[in-house]
Amino acid sequence: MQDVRQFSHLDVPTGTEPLNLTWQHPQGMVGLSFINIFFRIITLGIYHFWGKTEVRRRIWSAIRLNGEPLQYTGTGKELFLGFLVVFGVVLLPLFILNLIAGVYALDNPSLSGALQLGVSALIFILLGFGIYRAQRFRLSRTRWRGIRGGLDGSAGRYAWSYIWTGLLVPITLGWIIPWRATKLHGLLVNNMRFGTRPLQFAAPSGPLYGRFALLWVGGVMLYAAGIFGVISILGPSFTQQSASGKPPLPPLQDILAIFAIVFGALLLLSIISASYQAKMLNHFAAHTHFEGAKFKGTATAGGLIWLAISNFLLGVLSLGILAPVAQARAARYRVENLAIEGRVPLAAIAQGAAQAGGYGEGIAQAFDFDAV
Amino acid sequence: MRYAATLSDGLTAGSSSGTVGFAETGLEVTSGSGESSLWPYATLAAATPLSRASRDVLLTSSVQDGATLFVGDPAFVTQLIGRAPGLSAGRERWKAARWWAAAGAAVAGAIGVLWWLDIGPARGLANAMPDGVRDRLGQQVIASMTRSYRVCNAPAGVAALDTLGQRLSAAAGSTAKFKIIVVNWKLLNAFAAPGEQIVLTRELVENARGPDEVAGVLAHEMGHGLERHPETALVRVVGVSAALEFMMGGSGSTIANIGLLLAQLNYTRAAELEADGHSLRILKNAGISTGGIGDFFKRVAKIEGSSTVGKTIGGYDILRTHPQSAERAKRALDQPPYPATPALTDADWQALRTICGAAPAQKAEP
Ligand SMILES: [Zn+2]
Repeated sequence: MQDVRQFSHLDVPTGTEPLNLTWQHPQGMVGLSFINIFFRIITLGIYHFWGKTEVRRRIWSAIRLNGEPLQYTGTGKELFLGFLVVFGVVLLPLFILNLIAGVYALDNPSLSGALQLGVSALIFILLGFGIYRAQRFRLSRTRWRGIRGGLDGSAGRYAWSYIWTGLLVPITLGWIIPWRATKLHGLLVNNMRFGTRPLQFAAPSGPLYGRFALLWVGGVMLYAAGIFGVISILGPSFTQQSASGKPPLPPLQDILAIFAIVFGALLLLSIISASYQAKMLNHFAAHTHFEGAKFKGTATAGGLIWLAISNFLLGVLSLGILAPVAQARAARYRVENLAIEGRVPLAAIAQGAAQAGGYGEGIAQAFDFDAV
Repeated sequence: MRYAATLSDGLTAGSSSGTVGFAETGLEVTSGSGESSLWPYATLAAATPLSRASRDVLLTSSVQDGATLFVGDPAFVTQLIGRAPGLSAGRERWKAARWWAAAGAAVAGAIGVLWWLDIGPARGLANAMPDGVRDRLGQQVIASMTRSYRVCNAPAGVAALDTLGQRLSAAAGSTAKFKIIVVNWKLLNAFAAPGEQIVLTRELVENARGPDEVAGVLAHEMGHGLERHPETALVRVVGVSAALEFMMGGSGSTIANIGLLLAQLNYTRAAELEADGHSLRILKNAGISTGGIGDFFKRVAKIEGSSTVGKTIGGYDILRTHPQSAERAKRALDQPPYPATPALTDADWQALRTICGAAPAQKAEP
């Protein structure tokens, strides 16, 4: 038997290749969604981790670079063990602390409050770690042409930045958010690599502030308008207390009016927010480089809103069963609105070191911010 | 028959074109320059589980670590599933799920056996709960209820309620001293909360035809308390929620809200019958006629089916009884007679009826 490396020495191009990013929609995601639910039920939920793994394998495989698929090499067992560790070390103690806080809520409110505050602070600290470790886990289990991705650097450093910039959010009335997003994104991307070669990201956060100002002002105004609207409608009915001591329910048209106001405000705000998000995605992509190539994003506010609304409806109407379909749609949007421009000397990129992912993903799973 | 393939060696990110064919024991992989190697079927792994719908496949083999083989031909996939059935989606899923499914069946069986033998771990935990914890839980329930409904506190009414409570507590033959309050709630109801605490509603007190009826309802709720039903239900709900959270890989946030849990408590038919048994015993020990509670159930039986009373809230609703009220009325009224005195004097009864203040508006016949 011959060594496979001999395949390459003759016909590998010595120059560079362009990278063409495409999406080949995976077949049978609806069927897979129902199959996963079935197996989850008969295994008392434990199949969740294997089901999730199969969904990822299909979504990764739908992403094509020069026609060849990405490969997800993580296993259900890994995810399950990660969750077990985090359930025992983080979730269960937090649950018990919360329970104690609940029991003491009445006769020792300060102790209970302190406990709850402590729990929230702990979760906040763990979030940064969780995001970084989950990203590392996923990249180290992603391959293309057999070459691994990876995330170097320290999760602790990321978590620290995540915390102190997070604490500044209320102090700056939110104005640090674009700067914070850029900084955190940089900490992630600059530690990413494909094989042995790193990705580079350097972007000013200034260009994000135009849309952010719109979002901020719009948010404050809509909030005020919403409160004013609700009070002006509900106000009269609050003033007439009934004999039974309960305020009478406002008439139906008032309730509908409140819904209309809240819904309209949310819709308007989400349009502004989506335009900020689209700007951010494209801005970040444009400042990301890999070898000689750079990324180009073409996300739009309309596209993001349609994606969010349709995926939300898909989730609600299917009671969450079709979540894999929604995930595939989200991945599709990201891939179809991202291009790589320029040429990369692929044959010169060597395999990188393997990384253990450990239970890193567990934290992300435990707190439900695990997107795919 | 050979298929076009894209080959990578796993050492660099370059790739080259070659061909692949099916040999007896494995795939014969040939590079563009004509060099061949064999990937035995048993060593193959596919990037995604294969099905008839698969349009292409990315293969790896443990004999050549890191090397990949990509074939974009559905006909190749179909033939591959025939040669290496372990790569099919169905096989992969079952392989991952089978032991857990067996464990699931075992757990379901164990729960069935526990149920059948009437062994409740929740009951054991509830009985082991220290009094301090039970008291606090009870106060939580009461607090969540009195947040929306005022506690009725006309002094004469409170004194009358206390008299009745002491008489029944003594008859219950337990060291426990029940704490009873009336809340200003327009819903005919009574609850037992953890830690020997009982809540009656204004509607119930005002709808009763006499002190014996209120005494009967109180004795029934004391029965729940003596059997630790509120505590047991709470443990069960917490346990089931925690298990569900685990099964759903959830965030742990829904179980943290104790108030939410308490709103979902509900007793079984067996628990109601147990409480009824206690109520008849307590009434007899106290020398109060069971006719009152019998009449009460009789009237409730009439409301049931037609009215939405008692369906309006989830909870430990004396009207949301699993045993039919008519049947319970009969059981109470069939008790052999014993010497009995009214549960309260006329004066005390009038005081209790007006515990919520303003003279009660007489309700129309239900
Ligand atoms: Zn009952």
